[in-house]
Amino acid sequence: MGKIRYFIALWASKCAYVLLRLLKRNATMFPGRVALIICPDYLNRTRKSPNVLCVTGTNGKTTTTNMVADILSNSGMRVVSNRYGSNINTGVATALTHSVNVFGKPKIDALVLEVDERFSRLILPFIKPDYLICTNLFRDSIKRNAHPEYIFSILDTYVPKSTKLILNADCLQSSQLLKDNERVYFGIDKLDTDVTECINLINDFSVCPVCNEKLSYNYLRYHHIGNAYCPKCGFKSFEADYRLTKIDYENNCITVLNKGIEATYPMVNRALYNIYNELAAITLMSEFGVDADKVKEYMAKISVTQTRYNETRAGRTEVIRTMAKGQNSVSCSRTLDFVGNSEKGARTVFIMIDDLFERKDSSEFIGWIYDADFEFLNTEDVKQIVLAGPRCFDYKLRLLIAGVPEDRILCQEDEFKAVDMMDKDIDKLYLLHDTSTYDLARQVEEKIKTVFAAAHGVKEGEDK
Amino acid sequence: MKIEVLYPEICCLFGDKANMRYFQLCLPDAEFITTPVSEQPRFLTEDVDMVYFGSCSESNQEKIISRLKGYENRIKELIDKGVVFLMTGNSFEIMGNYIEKTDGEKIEALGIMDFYAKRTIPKRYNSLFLGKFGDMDIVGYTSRFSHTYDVKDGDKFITVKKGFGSFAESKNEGVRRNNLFGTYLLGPFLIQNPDFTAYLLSLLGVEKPQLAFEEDIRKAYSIRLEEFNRDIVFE
Repeated sequence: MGKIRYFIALWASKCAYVLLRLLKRNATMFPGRVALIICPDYLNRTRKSPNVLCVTGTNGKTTTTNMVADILSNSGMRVVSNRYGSNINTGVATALTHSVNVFGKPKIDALVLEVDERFSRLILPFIKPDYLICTNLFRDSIKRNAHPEYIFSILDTYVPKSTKLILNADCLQSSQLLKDNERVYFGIDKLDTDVTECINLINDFSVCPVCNEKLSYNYLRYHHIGNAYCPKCGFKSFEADYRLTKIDYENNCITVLNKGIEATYPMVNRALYNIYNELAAITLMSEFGVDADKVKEYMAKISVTQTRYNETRAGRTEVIRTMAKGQNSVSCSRTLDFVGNSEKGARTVFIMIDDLFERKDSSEFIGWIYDADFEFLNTEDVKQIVLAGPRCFDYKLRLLIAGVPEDRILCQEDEFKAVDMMDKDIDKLYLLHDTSTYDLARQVEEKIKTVFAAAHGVKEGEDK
Repeated sequence: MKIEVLYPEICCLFGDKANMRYFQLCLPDAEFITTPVSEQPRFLTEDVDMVYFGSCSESNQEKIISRLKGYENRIKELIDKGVVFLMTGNSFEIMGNYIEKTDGEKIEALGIMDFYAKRTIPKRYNSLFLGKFGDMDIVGYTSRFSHTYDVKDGDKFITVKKGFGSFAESKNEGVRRNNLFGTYLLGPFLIQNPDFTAYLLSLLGVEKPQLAFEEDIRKAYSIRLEEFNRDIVFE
């Protein structure tokens, strides 16, 4: 009966996919939902491809998964992946539907899956990955993920014992996972920009888990990411097997050392958190047996997905639209650090990172903004901060508490009115948006282009 | 004036740090002490005017209980003297008789107040919150893996208008004993409730309390209050 039910689920799922595509819909989750409703153990019953590689963690899952899938595809393997972030059980089920033919036989060489860490208990025991990357663990959405220890406990309980782990040696929160599983660690050697004391508001792993003493750092990047040790009992970060020994920003490449052999790879993106993602992918590919030259070849072609970062011009103003994930204080802090500190020169920051769905019929919990490092915007180079959306007054208060002078803050609920009101005599504008306000941000960006072009006396689309 | 912030490295989960950061702006002349979990609280041996704890993970709750076990009488003494205790998120649960885990195991708590807490992991309870304390409208947000039961009439804190109380259907939220206030409302509770913040300042002996950024904090509060009084989704 179970087998019959499975095949009905498989065929229904395939039909659902075809139908949705005919209707020009994305079809990343619904086919999987159909399958799971008909056959609740669909994930378990589906025959898996010869190789199953998964990526989980708080930040960097999508970027890392896409890198891995791209590399394998370009190496000639037939790959199915749940791209575009459908990383819960229904999205994984949809990917499984694509991975087998109508007889349930795997028709691919590798299944590459992004797995939501909270949903891992519904996915990983049934998918039984050969390899699992855990990029990092930080605090995230309070409603869904509670706190990092809770997510750690889920992964520690539900990842199969047979799965080989690829772990971040510089993240004490995640590197402690599943001590009995086979694993390798990746990490970045000390950088000139590293510090030894945390300058961020959040450090989710600052206390020794053995003796409660405050941890010290040989080097610290941001939040709890770095190489730590306990001055009292000797507890310390794991040693990295794959060590990134050099970041060459001038030549856009990184050097990775493993078992005494160095290899240089093109740098996919300059932001440190994306360098970690690339290093995680390189580590997995090496462990999986993909030739390093092949990996280098494909890294040269990969770019970080366009939804996250885009540059354009509005009159004579350079506009950089970038995602700053709302409800995720660490991810947002990384973006604020980049926006506030990455270079010299006057800039305006336009912030619209409240949750679009919650503004419709509810109200958003704004506690997370007090964990995000808005202090990075309190610099002389940030001349103006435009706050838009229904939570703009909460953000204003946050910036005042961060020490930002009030005369640099413009607060307007209506995003489009905010564009009209803001100072247009600026060289650079960062437009920060949430995942949910992506489409709205694009509309605001269009308005900025129109309004700024007019203000600068140029035709829209022309540089001055 | 001396204010002790206990274990901020582990009691700071959901923007809770903002409470004392803001309070410091309202009391620029007060001495704020932060006590890490590796040290004994200063209030055990010194006079303090206020103690603050924020939200913590469930395992850290147990750690804190073990750190404070044996000092219950001192804590009761301080509460009776009128020292202000503010405990946001799940931190106040340590003051009850026990915390019951999901598997039924009971963790003995400090027994300073007569109630108990019960964990609901993995079920998480999230809601906006609107309530009343005296004449004050209290707004906030709760997100937790536990409920509190059997809070006695004299120990109740906030009356619920909308959202989850001490347990989902409860008409009361949090605990209060003299100047001890414990609430599941988490994050920047003081920033979101300027009237309550002013009230706390008055309890600390501040005449005519002045709030930092008062115009902006009250504007954000009035917008939120108006929003919460509308027919919006709370859970």
